[in-house]
Amino acid sequence: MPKKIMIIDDDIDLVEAMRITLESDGYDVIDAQEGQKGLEILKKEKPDLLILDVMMGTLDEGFHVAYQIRNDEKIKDIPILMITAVGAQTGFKFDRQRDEDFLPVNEFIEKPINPQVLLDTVKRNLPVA
Amino acid sequence: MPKVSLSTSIKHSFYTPNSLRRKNIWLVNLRWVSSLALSIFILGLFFLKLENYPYSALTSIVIVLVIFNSLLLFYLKKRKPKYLRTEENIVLAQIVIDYLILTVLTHFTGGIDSPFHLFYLFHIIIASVIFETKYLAFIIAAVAVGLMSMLVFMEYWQVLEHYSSGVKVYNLTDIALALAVFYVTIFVSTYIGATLMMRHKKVKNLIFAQNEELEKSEREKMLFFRFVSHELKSPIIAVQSAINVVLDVMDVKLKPQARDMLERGRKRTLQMIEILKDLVSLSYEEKDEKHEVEMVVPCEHIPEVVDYYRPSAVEKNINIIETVCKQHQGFQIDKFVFEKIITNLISNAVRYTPIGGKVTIKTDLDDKFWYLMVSDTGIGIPIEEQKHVFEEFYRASNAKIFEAVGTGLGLSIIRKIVEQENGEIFLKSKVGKGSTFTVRFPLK
Repeated sequence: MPKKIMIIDDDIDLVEAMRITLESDGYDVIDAQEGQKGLEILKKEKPDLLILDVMMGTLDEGFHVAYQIRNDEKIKDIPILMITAVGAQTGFKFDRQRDEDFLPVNEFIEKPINPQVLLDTVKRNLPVA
Repeated sequence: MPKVSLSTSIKHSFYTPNSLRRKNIWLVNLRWVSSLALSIFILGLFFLKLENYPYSALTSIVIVLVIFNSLLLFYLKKRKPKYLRTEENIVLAQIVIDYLILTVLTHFTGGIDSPFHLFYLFHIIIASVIFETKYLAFIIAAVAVGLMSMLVFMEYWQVLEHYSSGVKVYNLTDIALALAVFYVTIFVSTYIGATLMMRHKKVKNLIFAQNEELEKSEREKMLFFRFVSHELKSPIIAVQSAINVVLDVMDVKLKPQARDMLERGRKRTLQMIEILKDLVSLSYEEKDEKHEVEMVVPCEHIPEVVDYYRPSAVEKNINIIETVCKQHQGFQIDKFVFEKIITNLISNAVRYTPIGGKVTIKTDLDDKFWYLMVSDTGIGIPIEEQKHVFEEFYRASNAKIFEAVGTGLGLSIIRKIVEQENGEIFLKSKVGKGSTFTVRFPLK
């Protein structure tokens, strides 16, 4: 069974680029363009890992989605990779050690995404079955 | 263009409770000086043996002044300035009490003949400076005129005694003339003082209002700027991701020429992204509320940053040398700011140094400053271009040839940040030999 990866990102071109990259490595990819819709699909499909964009409708929609996932017993263990350009946008750098406490995601990937980095990060964060 | 309204409708109180309190204290101090001056005056009269002055009454005035002043000072020290209104009332009370004392003093020093009646002017000037409304100054002027007239006529009708060192010439014409001059002096001074002050306040209000407008439009501009940068970044990131997928993921057979063109496209999108990132950090006010300030001792932080750049240096066979870092007890710097400065300097040094070169990071210390020096054995900067390298978008002519991609924003950003931290940045460079950037920060 190939691992199922979900992408929530409002930029369909980015989604497509990530999809091709991930599929080339044998993953199944599902996607959503918007947070709440994404949550619904996520609950239904139960992917093995979620790739989540920070800035969608609002500057921090991704954060809210991540919180909702972590507060939902049924889906709270899904690893989340957060794609961000926030580091450059707001000038604050995410310091992993410090921010994990208040931002419940596994890892950040900065845009633009390098395909190899994406694949490595996904592999690293997938739960060992 | 920011639209600056010239209206003066935005009312800015000219004073704060604190600044008005200082004025109150200043009045108290002035009263100490007057008490002292009056004491000296009494002593002078005494030594000149001028018999017709009532010494005991004059001395009592000094005593009253000192007691009143001490009580007032005690009150002011005990109560912190809180409301503008209260402070204004204290000023008003001081003026009224001063006027009463001054009237008594004028009486005992000769009424209309007394030189002290000119002192009524001081408070009128003080009132026109302090009070927001013109009419208050005029009321105070009226009080001065009323008190003086009352005194003079009471002395004329002999309700009160008239003390004078000179001849007692006291007919109605003389009194009328003297009082008329006094009235005119008082009211004209009030008018001039109040009018000038109103004008001054108006101008100041205008400047305040304009400043506020400018700051607001500046903030709006920055927000717009960031928004635009973000909007521009999204498509370019998508373009780059698409190219990345074709080049790195899809197993397509591309003609070398096609691959080369895509590589060029990728490089240019990368350049664009870098420019946008730089633009955003240029627009971003370092001190704004966004980033939490974390202070670090720079020496503890340099190795971490250097390690980050080692791989790219190794790729170019460049040796990064760190000398022993000099510390100063207590000198700390905002981590975010320091990282930004040092990463920019090191990445520049690595970028513009040919294969096999050397980048050296040194620190130094004297009584006043902590220094960070980043030197390279790179291409250097032509002397005539050195003064421009800190300008936005400027790239030295040889830098453009050596590295096609670059924004010309890095150094201007560094300078901006360094200056925000009260530091300075210097450059020493020789074409073909290398460059040294020195940043220094004051120790306190």
